[in-house]
Amino acid sequence: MKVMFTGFAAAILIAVGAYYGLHAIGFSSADTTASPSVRVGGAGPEGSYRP
Amino acid sequence: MKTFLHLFVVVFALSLGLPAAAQEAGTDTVPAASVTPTLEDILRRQEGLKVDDSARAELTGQKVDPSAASESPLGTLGGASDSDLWRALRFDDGDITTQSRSPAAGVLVQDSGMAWLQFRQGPLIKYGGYLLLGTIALLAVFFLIRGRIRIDGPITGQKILRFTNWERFGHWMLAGSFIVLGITGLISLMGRKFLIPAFGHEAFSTIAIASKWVHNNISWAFMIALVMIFVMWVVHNLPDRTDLNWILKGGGIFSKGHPPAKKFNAGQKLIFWSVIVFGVSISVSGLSLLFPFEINLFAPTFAKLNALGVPGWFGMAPLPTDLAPHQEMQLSQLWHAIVSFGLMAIILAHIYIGSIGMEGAFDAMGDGEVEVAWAKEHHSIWADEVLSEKAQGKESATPAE
Repeated sequence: MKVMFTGFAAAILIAVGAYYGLHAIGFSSADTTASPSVRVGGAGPEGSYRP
Repeated sequence: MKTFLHLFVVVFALSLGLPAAAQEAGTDTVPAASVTPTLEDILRRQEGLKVDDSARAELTGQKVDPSAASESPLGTLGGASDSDLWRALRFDDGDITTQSRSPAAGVLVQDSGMAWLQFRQGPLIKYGGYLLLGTIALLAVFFLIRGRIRIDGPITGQKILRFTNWERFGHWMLAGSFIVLGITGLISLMGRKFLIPAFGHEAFSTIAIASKWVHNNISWAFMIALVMIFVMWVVHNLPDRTDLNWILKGGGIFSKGHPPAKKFNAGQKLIFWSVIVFGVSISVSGLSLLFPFEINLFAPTFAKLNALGVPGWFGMAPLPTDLAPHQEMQLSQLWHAIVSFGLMAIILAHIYIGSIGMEGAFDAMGDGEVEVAWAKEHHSIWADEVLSEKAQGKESATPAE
C-alpha cells in the first residue's frame, strides 16, 4: 500500500511541477497568445482603471 | 408656362424611366432568389436549425452585390456596397490581418460552434452518462449472478511476488491520475447541467476553476505513467496461443476450472491494449487542447482518410479538410470526451474485477504478493515459472557440503 500512496503523491508532485514548469518556460495561454506590449493579468500601475 | 410644363413632363418621364433602366442594368449582379436569405432562413437560424447557405458561400469573392450597378452616392462606399466583404467574413474567406498572435484571431465568424455546443450539451452528456451508469448497472447484475470469484484451492499463506515496486508505482500513478482526470473531466463536461442547479453559479465557478487546473496539470502524470506501464508490460501483453484458449473458455468465469495463462491473461491483455490505445488517443487530443491551435489533428487525418476513400465505404461524402482553428479544437474536445467515456467504462470493469469481483486480486497491486493458490488458478503458466525459478534459486543457494 506504501507504493500505491507513493504513486498518488508522485502524480500530485508532477501536476504542481507541470504548472510551475510550463509557466516558467512561457507556455501559459497569456504568454503564447499576447504580444510583449500587451499587459495580461497584471495589477497595472497605480491609479490605473480597475473595474 | 408651356416651357415649364414641358420640363415637368421630361423630368417626370425620366424619374419613371431611370430606375427601370438601373434595375435592368443590375439584373446580372443581383443574386438569384435561391441565394438570397429568406425570412424562413432567418427564422431557422434563430432557432438553431440547419440553414443551407452553401450557394451564398460560393458567391464570396465574385463581387455579387445588389447595389453594385446603381452608382448610388449614398452608401459609405459610394456606389459600391461592402456586402461582399461581409460575405467573406461570414464564410471565413476574408483576407484578415491582425496584430494578435493567436492563430485563430483571423477568424471572425465560424459556423461549427453551435453544432459543437449542441452535441456537447446533448448527445455527448446523455449517451456518455448512460454508458457509465449502464456499465455500473451491468457490473452490479454480474456481481449478483456470479458473486465474488473465490480462490478454489486451500489458502496456505504462501505468497509469491507478482508485481515489483516499480510496476505498482507506475500502475498507481496511472490509476490515481486517471480517476482524478475522469472526475474533473466529468465536472467540466456535466457541471453546467447538473452542478449549477444543485450548488449555484458561485460554488460551481470555484469547483470548475479548480477542476480545470487539476485536469490540465495532472494529465502529465497520466502521460508519464502511460509510458512507464507500456515499457514495463508490453512484452507480457503480446498475443499468443494461450489467449485463444482463454477466450474460448470465457476466462473460466462461468465454468469450473481456470484456463492456463501467463503473467497476463487474454482479458488483462485486452485491458492493457485498451489503456494504451485509448490512453494515447486521449493524451494526443488532450495535448492539442492544452496548447490551443498549436496541434491540429483532424484536417490531416481527414485528408488521409479521404485519400484512402474511407468515407466512401460508408456512403459518406469526403470529410472536410479546410477546418477553421476553432473546429480543430471542437473536434479534439469531442474526440477527447468520447474516447475517455470508452476508457472509463473499461476501467470501471477493471476496478470491479481487481477489487470486490475477485478474491485475492487486489493483493497483486496492494502489496505486490499473491497467494500461491490464486496464482496457480488464474496464471498457472506464470506461477509454475516463478515457483520453479524459486526452487532453482533455493537449490543453488544451498551451500555445498
